[in-house]
Amino acid sequence: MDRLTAISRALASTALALFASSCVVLVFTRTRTNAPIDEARVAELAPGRTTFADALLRLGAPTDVWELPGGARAIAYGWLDQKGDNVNVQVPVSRNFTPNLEIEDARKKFYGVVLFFDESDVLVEVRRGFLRTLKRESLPSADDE
Amino acid sequence: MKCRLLLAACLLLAPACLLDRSTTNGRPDEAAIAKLTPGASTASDVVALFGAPSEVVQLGKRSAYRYEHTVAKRTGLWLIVLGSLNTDTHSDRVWMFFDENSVLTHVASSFESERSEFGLAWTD
Repeated sequence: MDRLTAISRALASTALALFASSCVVLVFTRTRTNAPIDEARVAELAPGRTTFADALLRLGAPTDVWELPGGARAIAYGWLDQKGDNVNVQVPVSRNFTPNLEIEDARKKFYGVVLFFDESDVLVEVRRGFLRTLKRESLPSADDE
Repeated sequence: MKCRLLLAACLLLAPACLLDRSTTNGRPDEAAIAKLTPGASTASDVVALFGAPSEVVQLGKRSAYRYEHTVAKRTGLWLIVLGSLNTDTHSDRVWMFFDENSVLTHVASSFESERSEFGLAWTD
């Protein structure tokens, strides 16, 4: 057996071992957090008329609430539906699943609807987008955490 | 022979599956919400019924408490070179809003944790 054949066999064996042990895998991932809000219910909201109580009644508990300047407030309804497919090279020794951290991480990527209310709790504006961005834009300081 | 093949297939495929269910916090008591009266109940009443909130948000002179119970179901499947990892998370969430005197003004609740499902990454 010449040297080239020996190297080829070694490489083939290594590749086979990696594939067979699932160290190299094409992974399809999907992460869903919360269900998207019912757009029909959002369409029922009318800036200038809808109150804070009406909005809560129609849409339920928000995912986030924050203070706006001048005693006003905003509530947000967010969700995440993230798909991915990629080739992973992994060594499956151990991986901790820490739900709290993963949920907090997901919250940072939420897409959704934000309802802005004035100081009298009347709806002023409805905006859609990434909640983190919308929240940051609505706050006087950049610190939104 | 068929039994041996089936056993071999099971032994090869079964270790490549993952079903995981994780929860955070206790489920807010849905029935206890009816015991609260906006305009009369106070933050102390809320804490007495529901315990410590998951989050307290200051809204100027007003405030809000969030109670949240989360269920995450994770499904994994690895078949030699193909993998699927799906995580589905839903929550039971209750927000209590208080005025500047810590009197309850609004309650909003959504109970959706039972919507969490096991499934593959490519299924809807």
